[in-house]
Amino acid sequence: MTGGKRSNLSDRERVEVMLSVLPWLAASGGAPLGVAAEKFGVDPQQLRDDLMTVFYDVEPEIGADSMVEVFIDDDEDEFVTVRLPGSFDEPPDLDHTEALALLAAASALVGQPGTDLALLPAVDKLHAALGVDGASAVQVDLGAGDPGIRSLLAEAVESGHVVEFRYFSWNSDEVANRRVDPWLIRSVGGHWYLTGWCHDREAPRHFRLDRILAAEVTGSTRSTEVPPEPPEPMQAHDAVPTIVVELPVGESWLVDSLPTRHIEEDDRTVRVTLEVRSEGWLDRLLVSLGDSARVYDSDGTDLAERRAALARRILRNTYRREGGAPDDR
Amino acid sequence: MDKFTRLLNLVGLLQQSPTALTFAEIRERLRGEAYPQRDPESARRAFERDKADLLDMGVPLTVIPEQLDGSTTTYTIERRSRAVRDPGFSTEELGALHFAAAAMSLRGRDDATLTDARDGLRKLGGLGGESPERGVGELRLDENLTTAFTAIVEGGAIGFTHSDRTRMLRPHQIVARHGHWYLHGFDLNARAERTFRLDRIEGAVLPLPEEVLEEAGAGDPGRVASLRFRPWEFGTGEPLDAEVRLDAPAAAVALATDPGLEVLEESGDHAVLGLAVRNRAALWQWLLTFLDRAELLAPPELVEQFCAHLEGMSSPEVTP
Repeated sequence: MTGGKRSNLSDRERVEVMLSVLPWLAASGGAPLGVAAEKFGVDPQQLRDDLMTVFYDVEPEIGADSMVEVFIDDDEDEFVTVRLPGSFDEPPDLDHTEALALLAAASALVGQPGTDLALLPAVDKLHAALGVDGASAVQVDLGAGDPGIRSLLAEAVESGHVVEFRYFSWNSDEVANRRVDPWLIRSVGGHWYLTGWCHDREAPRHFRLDRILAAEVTGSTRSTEVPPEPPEPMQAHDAVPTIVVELPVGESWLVDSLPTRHIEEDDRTVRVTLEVRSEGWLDRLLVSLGDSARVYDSDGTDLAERRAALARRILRNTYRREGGAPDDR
Repeated sequence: MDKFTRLLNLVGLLQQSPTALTFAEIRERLRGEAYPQRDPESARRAFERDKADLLDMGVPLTVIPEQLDGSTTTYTIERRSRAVRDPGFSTEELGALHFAAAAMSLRGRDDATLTDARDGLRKLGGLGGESPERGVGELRLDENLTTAFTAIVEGGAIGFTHSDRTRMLRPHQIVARHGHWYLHGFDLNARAERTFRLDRIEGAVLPLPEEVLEEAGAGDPGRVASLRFRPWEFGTGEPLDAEVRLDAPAAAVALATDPGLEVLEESGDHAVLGLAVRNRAALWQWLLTFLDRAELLAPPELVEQFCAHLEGMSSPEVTP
């Protein structure tokens, strides 16, 4: 698949293309129109039209030898040559926003399985151009997990073979075997996920790679088609139940990485409505929030007793102690 | 004259002119075709819009303000800007950058798709070559991150509000981990290395003038080690050596998240990890995410404190 070539560019984008393509054509001694169009992400006919407009209409001062000369040889693969009048000869510089975007995207993929070997020297050159320490200035970690398992699952996605693995479900706090048609692997929110059709649940599911304990590729070919728009991990659903967490303003960071639906705030308290991903997820949230947090379900019931029961369960099962009121478990 | 032609004529004129030009000179040399409005103010407004567009594109158009001697504002295009020169990528390197930029979905604060990587590649003639069939991941970027990045590149300082306090920082490193950006640098007030989560910064990150660094006397940062995200280690003073037993699934998750954790003992059904603890509350939070799959084994005083925390939690005051 090649890079997209657009013919519906705005005037501004067309100017940006010209400011880049003219110095490149001059410095490279010319190029076939199609090659130039692909490199600069523009439709060849659009590029041809704009080059001819420059030839006919861009002459800042009549008689000052300020004309850009453009020659397109239709007999030679539409080979384009230009002669510049002392302007348009320097390619535009990257600004810091563009440099950061490129560095962030490239740094994220350096060292990932299947990444082009030329990416690392490209990142090094970009760091050198910026004058910063390439080893440390920008680091992007797309997620944890056993690289061997990720590589194995990536091959299964590619080959279309069913995978089987042991999965620690954070939501149900259970370890179980899963059989899955693998559709894709992607990093969302700093975690790697496998998305696919789970034969055990008979539904699409997302599996965090750092919770897959062991995996193998079977000889069976997947029986489901990869959807054109596979569901994304952590997509919000209106039907998901919610809770309200009430926290002192200074501690609102405790929930800022969670799927927030609504936030209300006054001088002292912040009330955050969160989507409940599962009962197991809610249990973990209840015990790990600090003492100053109050949590209410969608009916307004304080979940302090549920939290207390969890604390008693941990005390009894792990530390062989009884705490607070008797537990019903 | 349409906008495409007008902007290119303006760039060509300012690049060719050996001296900076006033707006009147620009208007005259472009033969009145670029800004033909009868009303000079209307013509100037049209020129100001073009100037803003060119600046937004990264064209280093410089405005030399009105001088004390009464001479009017002039305009030029610098031949060298402070931005990033093309480092001379090979075709293969540009192809690899293009693939990476297409594989990573970059989004802004309002979830809008950002085109900065593609815009940068266009300037480099790097939009050719293969694109991935599907995206590999996504990253979120915003203005505060760019301001911090610019300060790293230029060796400058930044100021911001964090936890109700104003901070001045010479940033060394930005790190994306677990879906958040972290900013690491030398805190000019605390006189120590500090790390801040960028989305907890209140409001804007602002660049500080060079004098701030000179007055603060911050030395060269040197090389920065990889950041470790072990909140129980945060704080000062001698750490307590703690031992935590995790069952096998919990241990697998903990070690997948942080492969550098010290493993004191490992068997088929559990692992014992060694942790250096300075921040008890952070340790409690980490332990409790594993519910009863994690057991704090040592030291005894820490176990007692954790059990007291659980006992406090087990006798709640329920609000009606």
